[in-house]
Amino acid sequence: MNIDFLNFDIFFLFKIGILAVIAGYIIFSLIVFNQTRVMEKIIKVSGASRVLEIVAIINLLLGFSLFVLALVIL
Amino acid sequence: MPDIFIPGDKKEENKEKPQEFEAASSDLKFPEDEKHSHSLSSFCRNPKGFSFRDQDEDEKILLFLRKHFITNFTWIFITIILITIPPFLLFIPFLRETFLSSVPFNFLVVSVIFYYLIVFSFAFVSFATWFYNISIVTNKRIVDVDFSDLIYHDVAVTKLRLVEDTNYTKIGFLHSLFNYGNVFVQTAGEQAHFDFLAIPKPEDAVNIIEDLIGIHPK
Repeated sequence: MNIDFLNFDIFFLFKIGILAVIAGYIIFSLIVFNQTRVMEKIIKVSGASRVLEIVAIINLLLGFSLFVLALVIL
Repeated sequence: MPDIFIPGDKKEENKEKPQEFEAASSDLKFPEDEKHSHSLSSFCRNPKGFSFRDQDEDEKILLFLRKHFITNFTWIFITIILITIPPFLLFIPFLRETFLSSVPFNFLVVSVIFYYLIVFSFAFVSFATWFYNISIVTNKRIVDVDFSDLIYHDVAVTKLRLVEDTNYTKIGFLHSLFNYGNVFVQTAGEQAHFDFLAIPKPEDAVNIIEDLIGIHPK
């Protein structure tokens, strides 16, 4: 099927799809961060709880960074 | 027959009883696990550096339980497999010449980074689920924290005097090899039973809880 007449770039569709999936990942990372913070308040394990919270923040930041990267290079 | 009239001095005696038991339970000494008292411990007597929300000032953690570390093997193995998949795909000539050469490089870069981010997330969530799924026995109560897949958490508490029975099961080759099993605590409280799954040294945990029940009369 020829869809050239629509002047439509299939990779633009991929870009939108990838950005949507990464946005979903960011929401998931936010939930992970929030739950880690809640659990840190419930159980305090000296040192380690703080490390988990920092890892959750890094995960969130990586998600944001990837979203920006995808927005720029795709 | 129940006593309708209780003389003043007898009333005071009755009031004092729970305090006596409270004091007795706090005097109960278990040898400290200095070797195993760290943040990744699975079985720890008198742990240091652990505390939980709503812990009373005079409440002492006697036993800290978590699933045996060997139970993490599955997710660690899956993570290693997932990490090695993309480099392996690069070595398949058919894929390299057809699929990979037709996809623009920038799409490939974003896809690979995203893939590794998901693998990282999977490992992190699996670790956090193990880390926060804990059971605590104090001189006053039993606290069971259930935490699964970061979307569900439940904190159940029962007083020691409500504990009716404890037992454990150790079924299977791995359970016997690594000495871990399930401990079941039946209570007369709202939550009928507390299950501590895959904890190390289940017989020791049951002994400790039984010692505490012995101190607390029903």
